[in-house]
Amino acid sequence: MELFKYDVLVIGAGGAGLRAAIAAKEEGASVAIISKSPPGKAHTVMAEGGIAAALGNLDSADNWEVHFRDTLKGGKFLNDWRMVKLHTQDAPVRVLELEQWGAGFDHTPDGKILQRPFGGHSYRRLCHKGDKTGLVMLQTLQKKAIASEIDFHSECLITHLVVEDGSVAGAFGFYKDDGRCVVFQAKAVVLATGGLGEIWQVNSNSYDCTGDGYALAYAVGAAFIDMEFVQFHPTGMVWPMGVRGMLVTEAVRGEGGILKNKHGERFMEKYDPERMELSTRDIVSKAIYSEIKNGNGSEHGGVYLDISHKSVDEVKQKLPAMYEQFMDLADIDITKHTMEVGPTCHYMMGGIKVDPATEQSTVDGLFAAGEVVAGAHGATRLGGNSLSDLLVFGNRAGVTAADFARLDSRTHRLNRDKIKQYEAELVAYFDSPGTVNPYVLHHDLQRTMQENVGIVRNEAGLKLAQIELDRLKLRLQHVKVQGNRKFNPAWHKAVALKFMLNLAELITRAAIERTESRGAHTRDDYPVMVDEWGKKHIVITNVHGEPHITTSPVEPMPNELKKLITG
Amino acid sequence: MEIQAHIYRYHPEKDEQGQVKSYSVKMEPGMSVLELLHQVHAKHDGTLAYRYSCRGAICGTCAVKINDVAGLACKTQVADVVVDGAIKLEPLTHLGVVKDLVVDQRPFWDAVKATMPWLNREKDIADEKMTYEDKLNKHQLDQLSRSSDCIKCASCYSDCPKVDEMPEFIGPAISVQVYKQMFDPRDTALNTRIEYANAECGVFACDKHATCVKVCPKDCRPLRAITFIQNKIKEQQAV
Repeated sequence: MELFKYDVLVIGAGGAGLRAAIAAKEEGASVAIISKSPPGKAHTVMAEGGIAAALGNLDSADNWEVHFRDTLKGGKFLNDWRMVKLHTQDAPVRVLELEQWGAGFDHTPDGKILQRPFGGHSYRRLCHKGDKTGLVMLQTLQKKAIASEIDFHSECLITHLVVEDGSVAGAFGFYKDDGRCVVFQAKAVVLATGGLGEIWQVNSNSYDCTGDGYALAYAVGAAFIDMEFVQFHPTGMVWPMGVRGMLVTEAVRGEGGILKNKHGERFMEKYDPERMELSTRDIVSKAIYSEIKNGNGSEHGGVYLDISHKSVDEVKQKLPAMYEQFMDLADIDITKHTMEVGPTCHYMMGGIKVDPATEQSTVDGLFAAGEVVAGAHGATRLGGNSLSDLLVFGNRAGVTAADFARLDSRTHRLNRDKIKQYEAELVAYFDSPGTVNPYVLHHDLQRTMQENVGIVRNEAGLKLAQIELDRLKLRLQHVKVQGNRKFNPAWHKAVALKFMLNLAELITRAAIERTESRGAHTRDDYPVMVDEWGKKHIVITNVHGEPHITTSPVEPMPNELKKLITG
Repeated sequence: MEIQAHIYRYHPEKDEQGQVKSYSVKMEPGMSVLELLHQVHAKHDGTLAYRYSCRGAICGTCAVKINDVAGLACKTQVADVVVDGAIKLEPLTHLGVVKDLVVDQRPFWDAVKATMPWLNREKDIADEKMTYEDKLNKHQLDQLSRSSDCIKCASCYSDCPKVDEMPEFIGPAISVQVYKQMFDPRDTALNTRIEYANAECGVFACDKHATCVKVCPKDCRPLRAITFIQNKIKEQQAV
C-alpha cells in the first residue's frame, strides 16, 4: 500500500483547505492537500455574492467592530465571540492579500476594492468580482498553492482518520482512478472538507458536499456543537428539476431585486417592513416558506424574484453569473422576466468544536477550518461571511497546524491491522450479498430529511425522522456496489452515504433537544426564542458508537465587547 | 418520451477496445445530459464512470462529447441535442481515457502549471493600488474578464483540430490562461510569459479553426485571446 509522510495533511481543497495549506507551507512545513474532486472544482467556486470584510472603502464608518456586532446579531448571539472577533479583525487583511495574489476584484474609480450591500450587514461590505466571487477566489488560491509547490493528491477519497495513542497520526483513503488504497502519515491534520447539503433533497451545494469531514472527526471522537443549525438560503432555483436548489445569489436582492407572490404582492412588507428583501436569511426563508404554504406560491412551487426593472446593462454587469445561469439552465432572460425561487439547504453553522485561537478540535493534532467548523456564525450566518471565514480560519489553522507539527516529537507507529480493516470495510460493498442500490438509499435519506428536518420542524416530525434514519442505517448494511474499484461513482456514493446517515442522526438529535426557535432552527411546537437556550450549545460526541448529548455554556463576552453590541 | 442514449464504455484492464452501449431513458421536461447520466447509472448500469460536481456550469468537471461536440453535461438540455430520438455521449478527446467517460486530466493540469498561472510581482505592497481597469483598452479588459471565467473543463482542448496534428500545441485553454497573466498590468513577468507563448508549439501554431470559440461553455473566446497574445508578441518584437 502506498504511504506518504507529511508534517501537515490538509483534507479538502476548497477555500479553507487551500488557504490552510498555503499558510502551513509558508511556516516551513511539508504539506499535502487531498481533494476528492479534480483540482479547482471545490464547492467554493459556487459562492457568488462576495466576501464580507470591513474595509470601509465605500462607507468609511464601517470597521471590524460594526462587522462584529452585525455577525453576532445575525447569529442570535450563539456565536463564539472570540471567533467572531478574529474573523472580523482578520478579514480585511486576508482580502487585500488575495488581491495581491492576483484575484482582481471589482474596483471603485479610485482603485479601491468595490463593496456591495448584503442582508444583515450595516454597511456596503461585500468585496466581489461580479457575482463570480467564489470562482475567482478559488482560482487565485489554487494558483498560489501551485506556486507554493504544495503536493496535490486529487480525486482521493479519505475514509478514515488514523489515530494512535489518542492523537491524529494521518489518514486513510483511496484514489478514485483505480481504487488503490493509500495511507498518509502526518503530524497534524487539517479538516477543510466543507458542508453537508447533499443530505437534503433541495440544496444549493455541489454533489461533493457529503459531510466527509464531520463524519471523519465524529468517528475519532471529536466534539460537535450547534448541529441543529442548518441554514436554508431563501432563494434557490425551483425549475428545471436538474438545477432545483441551485443558489440564486443574495446579490440579486442586494442590487435591488424584489420578491413577489403569485398575486404580485411584495410580501416582505408583512414579515420585515424595515429591511424588506434584505432582512436576514432565516426571516426571508421563512417568509417565502409561509407564502408557498399558504397557497401564494408560483407555478413550480416557489415565489417570484424580479430584477427586470433595472436596465439590461446593469443586470448583465452586476449579475453576469445569474444572467448566464438562468439563460443557460432555465432559458429565462432575467433582464425581461421574473425568476422563480424557493428556499434551499445552503450552509451548516454547526460542526466541529475548535479552540478559537488554534482551530484545534478536541482531538489532539486534529485541526479544522471552514464550513466544517462551528462557532463563527452562531444560529445563522450572514451572507459573505463564509468566504472571509474560509480565509481567516484557513490561514490560522494552517499556521497552528504547522506549529504543532514542528513541536511534535512523537513517533507514531501505524497500526497495520487497523489499516487492513479499513480496506476490508471498503471492499465489502462489492462482495455484499445485499441488493440495496446506493442511489435509492440516498434519495430516501434526502426525502426523510427534507420532509422532517427542514426549515420548520416539530417533535413529531423529528421523531419520525429518527425512526426512519434507523431503518435507513439497517439498509446501509445491505448496500451492493456493482463492478470493481476502478473509477466507480456508485462506490464513492456508498462511502458518502455512511457519512451522511451518521450526520443526519446528529442533526436530528440536536434539533429534538433545542426546544425553542432561534436563527435557522425553527420549531413550530416551540415558536419562541427562549433566553435560557441562548446561553448554551448542544454538544455531541461519539461514545462507543452512539451520540452522547450534553450542553455547554456560551462563553460570556467581556464588557468592552458588550459595549460594541449595545452601541 | 423514451430516447436512446448511446454511451461509450471502456474499461482498459478488461476491454480490448471501447464500445458503444445503448440505454433507453425516459426524457423528462427540463432534463440535462447530466441527469440522463444519473438515470443510466442509477437504473441501468451502476458501473458507468463519469464525473460531476456542481451541476451549475461553474466547476467544469462534467465535460463530455455530446453528439461529437465537447460540452458540459450539466448545462446541456437533452431536448436540445436529441436527434432522431437518440443522443451520443463519449469522453473528451486528446486526453487518455481512465474509464468510460472519465479522462485523465493530469496532462492538462501540468500544462496549466507550466504557464506559471499566478500574478508575478517583484514586491508586495499592501496599500498599493491594485486597479487595472484603466490600463487596458475596452477589448483587452473584456477579454481579461472572460479569461478569468475559464473553468478549465478542457472542452476546447478536446475539440481543437490543431491538437490532432500537433499534440504538443498548447491549445486554447492554456492560451486563455497565458492571456490572463500576460494582460494583467500588475504582472511583472512579461518577458517570461512571451517566451512561453512564443515557443514552437505556442500561440503562433494556431490555425484559427475557431472551434474553441464555438465549444467554450463560458464564452471565454480563446481564439481572441490567442490573437491578442500574438499581437502583443509582435508589438514587443518590433520595439
